[in-house]
Amino acid sequence: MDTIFALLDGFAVALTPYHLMWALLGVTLGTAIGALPGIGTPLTVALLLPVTYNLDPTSAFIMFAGIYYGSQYGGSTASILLNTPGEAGAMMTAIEGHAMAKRGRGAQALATAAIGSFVAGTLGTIALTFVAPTMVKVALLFGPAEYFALLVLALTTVSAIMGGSLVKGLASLFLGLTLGAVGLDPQTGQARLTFGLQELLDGIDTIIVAVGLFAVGEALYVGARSKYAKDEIVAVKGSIWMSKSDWARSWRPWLRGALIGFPIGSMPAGGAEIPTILSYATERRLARNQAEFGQGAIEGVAGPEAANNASAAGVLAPLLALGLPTSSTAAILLVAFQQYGIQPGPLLFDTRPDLVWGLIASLYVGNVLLLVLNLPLVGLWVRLLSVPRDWLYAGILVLATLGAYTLNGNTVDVVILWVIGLMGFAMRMLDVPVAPCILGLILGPMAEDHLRRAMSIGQGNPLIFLEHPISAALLLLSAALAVTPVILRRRKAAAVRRATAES
Amino acid sequence: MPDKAVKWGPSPDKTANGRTLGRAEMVINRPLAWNAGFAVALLIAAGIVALDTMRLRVPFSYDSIGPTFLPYFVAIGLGCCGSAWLVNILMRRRPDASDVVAIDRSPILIISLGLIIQFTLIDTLGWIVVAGIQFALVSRAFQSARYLRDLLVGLAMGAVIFVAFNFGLGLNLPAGTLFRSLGL
Repeated sequence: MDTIFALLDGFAVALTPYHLMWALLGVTLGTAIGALPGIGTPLTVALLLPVTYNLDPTSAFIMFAGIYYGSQYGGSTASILLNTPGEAGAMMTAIEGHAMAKRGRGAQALATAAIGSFVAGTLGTIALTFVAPTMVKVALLFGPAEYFALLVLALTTVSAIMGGSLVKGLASLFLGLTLGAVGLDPQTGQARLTFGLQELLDGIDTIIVAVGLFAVGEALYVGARSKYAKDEIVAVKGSIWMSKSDWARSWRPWLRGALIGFPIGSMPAGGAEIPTILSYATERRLARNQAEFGQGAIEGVAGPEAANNASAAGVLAPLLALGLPTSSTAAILLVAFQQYGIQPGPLLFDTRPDLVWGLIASLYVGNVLLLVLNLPLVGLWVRLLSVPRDWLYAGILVLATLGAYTLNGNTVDVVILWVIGLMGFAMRMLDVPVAPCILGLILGPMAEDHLRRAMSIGQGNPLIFLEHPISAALLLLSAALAVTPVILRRRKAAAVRRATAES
Repeated sequence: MPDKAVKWGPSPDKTANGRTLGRAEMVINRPLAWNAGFAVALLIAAGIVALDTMRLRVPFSYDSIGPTFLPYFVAIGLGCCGSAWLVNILMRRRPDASDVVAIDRSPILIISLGLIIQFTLIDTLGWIVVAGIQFALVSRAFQSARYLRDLLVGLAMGAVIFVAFNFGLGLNLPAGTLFRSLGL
C-alpha cells in the first residue's frame, strides 16, 4: 500500500509541466539518436549526458528515463529497417524484423515492436514498482561480505556468458578492472597506475571508456571496412497498420516476452542477450507456422522486443535498490547519478523518495509518450536512417569528443578516449565482448572497497565470506555460472567430434 | 541472403575475396597477428601493472588488505588470460589467408589524426575549428570525396554546439587563443 502512495507522489512530481517537458525531450532525443545505426542505448545515454550537466537532479533523471526507453525504441527501428542492431538486445529483432521489411512488411514490424515495447515496458515498470522496494528490504540484510559476493557474481556471469569464450570475457573483465584501478587508492591515498599524470588521480571516467569503446572503436571498425561494405536500407511502403491477424499473433508473444524479460533483466547476470534469445527460441517453438521463422515471422519481432524492453525495466531494479548496475547502460546511469552526488541504493528510497519515485513514475509517462510519438512519426525516423554514413560517424565522433572534453575540461580525457578507442577497435576485430570491461571498470573499485571492509570486520580471516550464508551462496553460484558455459561448450564440441567421426 | 546486402554491424562480414563469413568462423579465422598481438598486449599490461604496483608502500596492518592486492590480482589475471590465449592460438590450426577480414588501414590513421588534432590544438584553434576539421577528416575516412562541403558542415555543427553549450547550457568550450591574439 505504501508503495502505491509513494508511486502516486512520484506521479505528482513527474506530471508537472516542467518535468513533462524534459520527459518529452528525453524520449525524442533518445529515439532519434537510438535510431541512428550503430548507436546502442549505452552510447546514446553517454552522448546525451552533457546536455544534463546543468540541470537539477530530478529533471535530469526524468530526462534520462526518457532517453533510456526512447533509445530502445529507436534501436528497433534501425534493426528492422537497416539490419544494424547496434546492441545485443536488438539482434533478435533484426533477424525477423529485417526479413519482414524485405518482404514489404516493415511498417507492421515497426508497429508490433512499438506496441510490444509499450506493453512490456509498462508491465516491466509495474513489476519494478513492487520489486525494487522488496529488493531494498533484502539489501538491508547485506553487509560488505554479501555485497562483495554479489559483485563477484555479477562480474563472473557477465564474463562467462557474453562473448565467444571465457578467456575473451575474462580478458575484457581484467582490462576493465585495470582501468578501474587507476587513481588514488581510497583507503591509503596512494596513487596507483597514474604514471605521474595529475589528471589521472581522479581515475578514468566511465563515460570516456564507454564512449571510447562504443563510439570511437565502432567508428574505427566500420571505417576500416567502409571500402568494402556498403549499407542497404529498406523503404517502408504499403499499409502501415497491423492487420487483425498480426494483432492476434502478437499479443501473446508480447506477454511472454515481458514475463521472460523482467526477471532475467533484474538478475545480476543481466544483459539483454539472454532474454531476447530465450524469447525468440520460445516463440519459434510455440509458433503455429515454424517454417516462417527466418523469413519474417511477426512473433519473432513481438517477443524479443517485449523481452528487451521488460529486461530494460528489470535492470533498473538492482540499480535503484542496490546501486548495482548489471548492464553497460546501467553503469552509465549510475555514473550520472553519482555526478549529482547521489548514490542509488537502499538509502535513496528513504532520503530522496521524490527522486526515485519521480523517476519510476516518469518511466510510465515515457512509455506513453513513446507510443504516441513513434507510431505516427515512423516516417521521420526512417528519414533519419538515410543520413549518409560518412556524416553520421563524423557527427558521432564530434559528439564523442565533446562529451570527453566537457567532462573535466581537459584534453587528457580526449587522449584517453583515443587510446580506449583503439583498444575497442582491437576488441571488435577479435570478438572480445565489451560489457565485462565497462562493468569491471565501475564494479571493480566497488568490489575492492567491500572486500577490504569485509576483511577488516573479519579481522583478516578470508573465511568470513563462507561463514556468512548469503555471501557463501552467491560465491558458489558465481563459480557454478562461470564454469557451466565452459563445460557445455566442451560437451557440444565433443558431441560434434563424435558425430563427424562416426559419419 | 542476397549477395549485395553486406551489413555493417556485429553480424557476418564479407572477406576480401567475396566469401561471407559465418558467425562461428569469425572466432577462429581471424588473422594470427591480431590474436597474438592482443595476447601479447595483455601480457605487457600485466607486466606494467605489476611493476607500477611494486613501488607502493603497504602500510602494516593485521586486519585489512592493502592497496596492492587488487593490482596484483589484476596483473595475475591479465597474465593468465594472455597466456591462455597464446596457448589457444598454438593449439588451433593456422588461419587460412583468404579468410582474413579485409580492413583498410588508412581510415584508422585519418580518424586518429582527427583526434590528435583535437587534443593538441583545441586550445589554440578553439572548438569550432577543431570540430570542423575532425568532421571533415572522419568523413574522408568513410570515403567521402567532397572535402570542402564536409568541412563547412563540420564548422556549422561545431558552431551550433558552441552556441548551445556556451550560451544555452553555461558550459565552457574554448574559443581559441589564436583568434584572441588576432583581436577577434
